[in-house]
Amino acid sequence: MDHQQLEAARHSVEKACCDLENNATRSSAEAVLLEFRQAHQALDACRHILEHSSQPARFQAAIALREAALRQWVLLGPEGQRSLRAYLLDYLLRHAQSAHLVVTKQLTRTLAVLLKRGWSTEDAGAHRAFFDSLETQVAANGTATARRINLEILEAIVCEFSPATASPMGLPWEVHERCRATLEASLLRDFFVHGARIAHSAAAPALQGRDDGLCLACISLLSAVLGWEFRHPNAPLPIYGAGRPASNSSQIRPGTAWRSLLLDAGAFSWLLDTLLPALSGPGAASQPHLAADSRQLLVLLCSVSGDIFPKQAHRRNGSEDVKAAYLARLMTAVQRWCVPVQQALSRAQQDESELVDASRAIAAAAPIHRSAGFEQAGAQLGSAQQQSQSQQGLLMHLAELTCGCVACGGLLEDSEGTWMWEATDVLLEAWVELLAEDSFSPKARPSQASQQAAAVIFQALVQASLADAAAGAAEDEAEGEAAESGGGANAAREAAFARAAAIGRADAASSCQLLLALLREKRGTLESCAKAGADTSVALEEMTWLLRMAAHLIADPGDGEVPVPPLTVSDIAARSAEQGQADLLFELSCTLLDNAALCADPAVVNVISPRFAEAAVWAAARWADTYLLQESTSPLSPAMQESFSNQAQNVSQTLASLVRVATSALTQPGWAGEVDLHGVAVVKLLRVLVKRRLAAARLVALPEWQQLAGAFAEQVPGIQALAAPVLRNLAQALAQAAIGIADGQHLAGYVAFIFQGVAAQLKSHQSEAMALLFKLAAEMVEAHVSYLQATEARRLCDWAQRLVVTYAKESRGRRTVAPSAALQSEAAADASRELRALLKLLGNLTQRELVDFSEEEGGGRPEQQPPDIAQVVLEGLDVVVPLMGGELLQHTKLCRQYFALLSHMLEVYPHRIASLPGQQMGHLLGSLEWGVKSLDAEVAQASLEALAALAKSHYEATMRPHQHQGNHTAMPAFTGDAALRLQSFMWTVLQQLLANDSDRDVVDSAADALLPLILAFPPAFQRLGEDMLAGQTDARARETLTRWLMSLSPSQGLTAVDRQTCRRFRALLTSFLADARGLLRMQ
Amino acid sequence: MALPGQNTPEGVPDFKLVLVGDGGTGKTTFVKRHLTGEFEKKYEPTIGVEVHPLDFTTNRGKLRFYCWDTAGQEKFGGLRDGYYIHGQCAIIMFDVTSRLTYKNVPTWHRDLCRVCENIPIVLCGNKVDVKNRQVKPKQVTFHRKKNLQYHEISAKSNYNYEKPFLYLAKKLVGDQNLHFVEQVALAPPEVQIDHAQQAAYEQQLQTAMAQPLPDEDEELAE
Repeated sequence: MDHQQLEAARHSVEKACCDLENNATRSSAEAVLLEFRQAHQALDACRHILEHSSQPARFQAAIALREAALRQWVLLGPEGQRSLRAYLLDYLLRHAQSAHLVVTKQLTRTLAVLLKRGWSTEDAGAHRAFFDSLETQVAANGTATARRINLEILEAIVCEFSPATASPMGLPWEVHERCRATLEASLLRDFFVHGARIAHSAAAPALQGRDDGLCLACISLLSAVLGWEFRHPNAPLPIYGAGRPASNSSQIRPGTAWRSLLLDAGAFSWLLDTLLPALSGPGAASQPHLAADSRQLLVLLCSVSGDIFPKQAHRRNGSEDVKAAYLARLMTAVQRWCVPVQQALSRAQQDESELVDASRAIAAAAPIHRSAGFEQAGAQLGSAQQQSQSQQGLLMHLAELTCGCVACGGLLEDSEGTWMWEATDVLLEAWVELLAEDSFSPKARPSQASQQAAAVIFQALVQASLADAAAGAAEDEAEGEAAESGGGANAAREAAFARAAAIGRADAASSCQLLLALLREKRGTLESCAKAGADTSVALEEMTWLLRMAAHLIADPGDGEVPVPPLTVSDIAARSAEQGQADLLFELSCTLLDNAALCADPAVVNVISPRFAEAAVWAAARWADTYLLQESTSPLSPAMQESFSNQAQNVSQTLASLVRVATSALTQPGWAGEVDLHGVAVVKLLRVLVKRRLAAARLVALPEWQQLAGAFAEQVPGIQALAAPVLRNLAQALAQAAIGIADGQHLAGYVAFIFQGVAAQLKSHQSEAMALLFKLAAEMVEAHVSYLQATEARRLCDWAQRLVVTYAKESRGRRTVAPSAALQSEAAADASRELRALLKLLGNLTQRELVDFSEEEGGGRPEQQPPDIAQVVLEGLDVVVPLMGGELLQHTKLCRQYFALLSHMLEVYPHRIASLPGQQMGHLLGSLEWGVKSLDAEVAQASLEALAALAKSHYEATMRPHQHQGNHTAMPAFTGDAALRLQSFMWTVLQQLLANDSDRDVVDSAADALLPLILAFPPAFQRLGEDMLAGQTDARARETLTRWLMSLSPSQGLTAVDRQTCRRFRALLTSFLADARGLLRMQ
Repeated sequence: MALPGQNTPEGVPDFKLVLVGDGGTGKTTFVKRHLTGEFEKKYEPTIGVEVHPLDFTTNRGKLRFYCWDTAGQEKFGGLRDGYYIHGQCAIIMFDVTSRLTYKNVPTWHRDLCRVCENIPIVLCGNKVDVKNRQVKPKQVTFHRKKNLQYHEISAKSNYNYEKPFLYLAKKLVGDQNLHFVEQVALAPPEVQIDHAQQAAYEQQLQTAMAQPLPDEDEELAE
């Protein structure tokens, strides 16, 4: 590029930078900048702009330079690569004082990216040489600013080499992983030592602002290193399939080699003794960034865990507990931000950052050190500092802080997003972690100190929540957020209860006692209000909260497992029995049941709010799931055994009472339309009751149950008016109770009775019936298809086929009328649901081919032949495909399901495709092409797998045309138009790969598809290569591409589609893409 | 910073908000929910960037975010971090039903911080209305490491919709007690009316009643 061209490029980029901010000119500016980035001579122009333009243009040029360098990496050659790196380093040092931060940051990143791009082709010596030359240049420059740039470059390198923040660069994740591993093994520790050493000397000047930002840069580097995902040398490699490797822990696990760096008493004296004391409280205002980053570094240090701490056994031999001493040092700094509590809270009204960071630090350390570790650290704190809180212990002090935040309103829904909410949230989470080990391990039990602390917090939680509940009584429920927002708010509420329960269980006895006393008190208030005709809403809201809390405390959520009584709760029951005291668990259980029974008591049912009823029913259900008629042998206290086990005399009465509660909740006229309440009564309570055979056997014998079943079967008005999903769940619960009926005749009669109701339901909900019917059909096919004899299986297939054809006929008529966009979108959603059910049905048919338990039938008559599943499904697909236009394929679920089935069919029956009638094959190949081009990685992957199977099958058929004769899976090769169409996939796939930075899985599947295509159509591949080269003007680019295309062609020993060749081809294709993508994307 | 070509009413402070996150996490749907009140069920990837003004009224007067809704898909990324320049606040969105979108949060954050230093950032976990979440609240820890605000949201059910904006407004205005005074103009959440049932009610001469049904064909929450 001559000077004139460079100037022209500079002017156009500068103009585009201004235009980008203008709404009217933005898109043209974008086009200019994009074109600039892809230009062949972008590197020269970028350098020109970096030297001669103002900040916005330099910023865009810095980004463009990175993209261009990556794209042209191969063309640059080793010398060009090195000189570009040298230029960047030189530029950064030259402009250290003057360059804008935004530009510097982009360039340091670019330098790191380029270093990494060449990392795997250079040896350890070359890596060292780069860092040596960096150090030499910085030392020669001699300024603190140059030193800062050095630190920023190291930080950018750490970020770039850490897979969590790596730039993709079009490389497979294995390459990133190798870079990560070598940096961790060879240099990371040196970086840390380097940063810490400079920080040590820069900390004091930094406090006076005399360090040129050196200290802040050190902290950033150290934080980046601590953000590294350390991997144990023996740990399994992360899974690369789904993109970026997972970062699986919030904890920092450096190995034993880091012990002295992090754990030595003086290792962080510059931070703990110099910076943080000076920067806390009013001192923070002078240097807010330095203060914030120092605090953040402390939070990271609190997250250090793993092998770095000596194991328990080794610790006893040493004089000092290293782990406790480490925590004590960190907590000394943390306490500066939150002692005394009241002062800290009032300071937070102005600036919350210290209090919030203190909470985060505590929460970070909690799962690593647990309550026992905090107690030990507290003891060391006390002896070292003789602080006042040593008397009450560190845990008690943290409890006081937590209660303080709760008292400020940290639990209130309205405060979400404020500092008190954040601090309360984080601290409560910390407490759950602190106490976790004690509640899970069967041997350990909470120490007295943690029990005391937990009791104080639980009491504060109960008080604050009750006050909130009482205040909420006045709000109009419809305006409440929970009413509008469904799932999210409910989940958040349940999580809050679960957390409170985890804390409450540490001192289960006092928590039970507290809830019991409050429930009795509020019940008294409720009754006297009701008697006096006064407003009951406050008492009801308070009881609603208490009932939920109590059930959370004593009962187990189960979550798919058999619910077990929490350990500390069974402890108190056992202990009270031993000591001859009242059994708190039993009393609380009776209270829950008693309050639920109110819902079925005609005398009071008018007084109760649906919200109360919902909580009472929910609480009873959760309790029953854990304690009622438990089949496991976990020992309960005598009082619990006598009332709620299978041997208990009056357990049927308890069951009957619960059925009455559920029935009343569903049918009370005053609660009509309360879908949440109905849902809880059915999905929670009835489902729990019918879950166990013991309970079901008693249930079906109860007149209350028969009455409920009768009401459903006959669809009495109260039942009929329930929402459709509630009714479906009710039908399910009623039917499930049949497991309790031993007598066959009785069983058949019962089920037939329930089905009366189901049939009536189908009639009255026709709009949903279609999808539901298909779902039912799909489930029926799934359950039976593998077991039926040939004759019946044929009949089942015929039936399924008729369903598909009938649906297609009817829905074609339906789809044409759609008067408005909204209705059209509704209709599309309906159609999508129905089609998904239909695809499921077809998919389930294929299971017979996987598992076939039917016995051979002797007869040779056609109807006794096993059904041709492939044909049935392929014909079904042929009917369904025309119904799925582009509009419907935008529904992700439907689209994925269709391609999953298509891929299954093509992979399992590739030999059937080539002989399909032209139009049917056209449909399938058309779908496949759409799928290969899809933006949805899952769809693209499925389509490529299908294509791979087709191509492989075709290639094998062309290679061995006569070998499979007589074998029914013999593959006829594609011929004529179909062959041309298959051949054209070669270009489609390659285009997709070159245009997108696809996941490794997609590239692998594409390789599996490309190899047989290339082998089957060598001339076509040659033409494709020629076309690709024809567009290249740059000689080096042509040369590189030619070399690659040669290596992918059949002449290079790629002669079969066996596993080994496929693997080799996958590796070749991956490397080809890494180089070729950049070259072909240049303009 | 008012954009030429987009007129901010006089005296109304405005801020450039950069909205980033993987493709398909619901950034555009989230913005559209504010603009039109509608919930978009279909997915059409954003190309490059789309800029929309979003207005809020607070107890301290009106304010406007110019929301730069950027493309999440690499393929349609356009200028990518080239758009972030002069960003004053940001939202990073991921999808709680897709682990991959959460795994990519650190990269979005890194790219943002390289261009916009020390701006307030909110991390949003979208689609919490969906039942089979892949990223549970306890697994979301990134914001703790980087001092971000985190909110679980649902563009579909409006859950916590205004929270990210409120946090950013508080930080930008520098007033912890700032609050929105008018209900943010939102459409009611998706409520499906069961027409068949409604008819049955009418036949029985009972009050017709709207029945919120669970999403699509899923059953009631367990």
